[in-house]
Amino acid sequence: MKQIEIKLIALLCVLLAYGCSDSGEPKGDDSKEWTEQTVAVVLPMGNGLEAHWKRTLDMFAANLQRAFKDQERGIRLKFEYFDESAEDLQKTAEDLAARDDVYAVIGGLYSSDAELLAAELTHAGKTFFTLATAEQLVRGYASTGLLWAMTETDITQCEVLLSKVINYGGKSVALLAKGNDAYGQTFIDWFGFQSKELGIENKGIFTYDTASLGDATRQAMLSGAEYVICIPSEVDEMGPMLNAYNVQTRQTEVLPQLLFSDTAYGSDVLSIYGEQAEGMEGVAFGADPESGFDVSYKTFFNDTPTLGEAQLYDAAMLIGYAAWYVQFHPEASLQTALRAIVSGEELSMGSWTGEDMGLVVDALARGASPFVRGASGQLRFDSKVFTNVLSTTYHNFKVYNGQYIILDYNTSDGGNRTEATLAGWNWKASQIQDFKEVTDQISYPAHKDNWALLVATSTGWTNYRHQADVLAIYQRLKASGYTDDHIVLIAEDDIAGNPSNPDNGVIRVKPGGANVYAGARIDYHISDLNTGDVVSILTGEKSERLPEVIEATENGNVFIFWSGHGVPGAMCWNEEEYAVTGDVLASVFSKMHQKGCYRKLLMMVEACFSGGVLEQCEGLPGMLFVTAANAFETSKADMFNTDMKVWMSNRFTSTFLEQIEANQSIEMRDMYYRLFINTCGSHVMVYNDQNYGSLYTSDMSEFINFKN
Amino acid sequence: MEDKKTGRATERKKMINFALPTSEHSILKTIKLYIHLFAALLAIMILFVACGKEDSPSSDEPLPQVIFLFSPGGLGDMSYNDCILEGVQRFKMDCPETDIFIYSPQSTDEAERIFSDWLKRPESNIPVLFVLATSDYEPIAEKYLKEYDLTANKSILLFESRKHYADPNIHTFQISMYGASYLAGAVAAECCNGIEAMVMLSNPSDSPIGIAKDGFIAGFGRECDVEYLADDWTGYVQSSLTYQKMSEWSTKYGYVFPVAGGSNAGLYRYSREHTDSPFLAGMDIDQSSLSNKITGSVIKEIDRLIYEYLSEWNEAGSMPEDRQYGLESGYADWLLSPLYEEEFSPTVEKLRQQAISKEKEYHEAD
Repeated sequence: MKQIEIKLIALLCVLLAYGCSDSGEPKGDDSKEWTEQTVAVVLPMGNGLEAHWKRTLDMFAANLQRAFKDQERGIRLKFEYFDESAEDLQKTAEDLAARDDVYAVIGGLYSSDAELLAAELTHAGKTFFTLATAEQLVRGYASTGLLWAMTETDITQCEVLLSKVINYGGKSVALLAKGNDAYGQTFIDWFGFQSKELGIENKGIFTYDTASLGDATRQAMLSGAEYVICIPSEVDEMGPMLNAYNVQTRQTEVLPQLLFSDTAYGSDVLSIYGEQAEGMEGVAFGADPESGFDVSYKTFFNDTPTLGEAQLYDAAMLIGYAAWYVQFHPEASLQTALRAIVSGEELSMGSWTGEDMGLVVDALARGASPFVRGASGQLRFDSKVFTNVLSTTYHNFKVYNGQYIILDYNTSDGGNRTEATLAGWNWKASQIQDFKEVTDQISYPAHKDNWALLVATSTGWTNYRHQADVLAIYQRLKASGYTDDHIVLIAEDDIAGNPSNPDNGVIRVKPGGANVYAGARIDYHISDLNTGDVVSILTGEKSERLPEVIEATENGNVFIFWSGHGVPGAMCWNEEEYAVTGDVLASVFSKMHQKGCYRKLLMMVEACFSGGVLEQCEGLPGMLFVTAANAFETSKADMFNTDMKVWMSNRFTSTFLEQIEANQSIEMRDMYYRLFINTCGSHVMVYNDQNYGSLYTSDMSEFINFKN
Repeated sequence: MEDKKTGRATERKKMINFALPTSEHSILKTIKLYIHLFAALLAIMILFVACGKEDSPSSDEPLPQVIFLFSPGGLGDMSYNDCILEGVQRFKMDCPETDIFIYSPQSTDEAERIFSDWLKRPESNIPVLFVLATSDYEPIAEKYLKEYDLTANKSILLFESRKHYADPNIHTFQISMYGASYLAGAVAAECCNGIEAMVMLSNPSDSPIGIAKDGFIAGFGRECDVEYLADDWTGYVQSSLTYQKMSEWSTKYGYVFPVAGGSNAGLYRYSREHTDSPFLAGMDIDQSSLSNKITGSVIKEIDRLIYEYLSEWNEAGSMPEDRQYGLESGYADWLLSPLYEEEFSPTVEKLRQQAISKEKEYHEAD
């Protein structure tokens, strides 16, 4: 009898497990008219990750089915899984791009893989949701309108990691990241900038490749930093890092603390490293704790979600909603539908559960436009290109007793975003240079004319943006009244007719923008000049070789716009890296001053590390220098064209152009302020303002809007 | 997942066992066995009926709904509210046919709107249970239940309340933290070694946390400073404030007993980042992993309790009326952190019965 009872109880348990599972296969409902769409999922499948992706999407499928219970028809998503870590990822990407039956693709946990996928999929017009976080990926493919990044970029993650250092009372920090890698590069680009913002001493950026990982790690440990932020691009790279740390632990007394990025958070990490990972701490993006996703997941599966599971769920949910939206708006593309879904402003309809999804489904069927939330939080995207989700929750994790525990959460302030692909950190007013109003005004001779030297110092198709920017400035000056005999334009002129240019004879700084090459009179090719020639041009020394020079007098204002590459301590000239150093430029300006070749001089430089060059030119009266970056920073490109595979402009220049087009008489101080606020990724710097005059009373019209 | 399900089935079996008379007599044993069989078969039948409804909108019997209103900003506190959600989702796993709408409002105003809108809904044949998952909602319930009657098929469950309502479809319960906090206080007294302790509370109007305060002070054996974070529910979401205040509290106190939900996180974070942190108590769930300064946690098995309430409502359509649980029932307890278990276990075991008695006395006098 007892055995019968046990069997019945066992049967009860089986029925419970089978019939009442929330995460099993969706139950069929033949009475409904179902529309099925195929979604490809390209994520790493090894080390137990496959089970994570599948159970999350199984749970989603069950919830989606539940969401349509009050509808006569519904949407089903059929998921096809592909291993991101497989060697033939390129072929997978090409195959998926070519398949008409694939409605959308979700994938790319690792940034380099995501970049590969994005290149193929967006080119083929395929909607691609990614969990990857590299800034270049987002900025590169944002303009396609087909990339949907489910997290903020690693700009924010880098900031969160640095804020942890501050929270722990750290005063110094070093970065350990993989060079020449899409994932590591974001941290490399932003670490110097953000550590300055946050007032932490930067003890160095230590980059590695596969062969030098151990050595680089040891160097980082010995850098004297209190904290080392570790950015393994792949899980495999964590082993040498942990080993090097442990060796160092035995050899030195003063040890840095390690903080890891999101690669270190995942079920695969624990299965690979086991006890070696005990105590490891870091930051990873995850579910919004208020959504209850993580708690529910743990309850359903007796396991912790791995990196990206909440975002995977939300990506599938948005695709499901969009497919439903298209049912009522047959004219809408998937992109249009997705944009409509994430733009909903009406009553919040809950979050990710089947019941909540049902509310959204019902609302969409009524023609309403509900505000949509998901497991990862509010599903709001930038309103310009709808590429980047605006808010990501970062989990401060630690491995404790073989499991991840969450110590606390961090979320950036989405309200501070001012541009489509910018991270939203709080700019600190204190970081902006404070220009004291100069009471003793410098007296200048009468202003009678204007001259401009515009220089693009790079060559080749990949450097498209430098010549494009200089030409855009040229067009701006022409439109403002400059004549060609007052502009010396130096550019290699190898872009407009370049074989890679799909639009022969045309150069633009943004897709669909004006042709900035039209009517441009280029005076010199960069390859025909050397840096010594610049001295002659600026000091008005005409010759047979140099017929076009700046012939300004003490009554003429001189505007110099310089765009090209830079290295620490110098600006490049074509292939020559250390061509224009601070010493060289200071002597040029000194000579100009001695010869009375200018009334006022404004030089704007768009080049990495340019602050380090111009800061050496301070001291001469009437000169003002504005640089895109300080001495320790790279400057940032803007507006990637996926068809042409080039950056079309730089952020500093595009912001400058926007500002003077909006107001050609903008005060110098306001110009600086706007450049500072909008040039994301480097500190716009101003030098020599004390020898120039009040930035509050002088304005750009003296250089831009002056009629010759 | 399978293990969890099996565990839950066993749990349910235990509940059934508790409901039956126990006897050593063989006839009674046989009767009991038959009753077990009958109960198991009945449970299977219920499951077939209940779980088979999901895709049958045309079924005559409407599917039940649960509307769960968490405290404002409550979810994600890694504490009481998350523990509740765990119980709710366990119930959902077992009874997926029940629609469960989970709301974590941003304010009591939003909560009030959701609740009053629901109360105003016309009579329906859909059985709905509205769960007010915090005592902060007691005034809201009071206010609107004076204005509107519960229509047929509507029930209310109000957490952490001692109120008794005449309407049999309004249920309340409270888990008293007095006894568990008493034990926490006793451990704190040993930690402090003469130094002062402090009780940090969310707000002065929430009666359950006041009970915890009284229990802690009684166990500590002498008066403690009491700090309130706010006048209302916002005291539960002040982790930044508590983090900042800890630099001051660290210089004054040897132990901080925090009863402020998500605000406690600021204290734990401070204690991880600074060596001068006083000892602390975890709250609502085992929080020993969050800081090595946490000597133990006042735990509430609210997940188990809500699972049982929901199951009972789902299966029988009713729930216990106003109930109070505490240390003796096992729904509240003081769980020492592994780091401190050896040191304080004798104290806790020695005082456990005393704490149970004190808790009873406290509530009898209340």
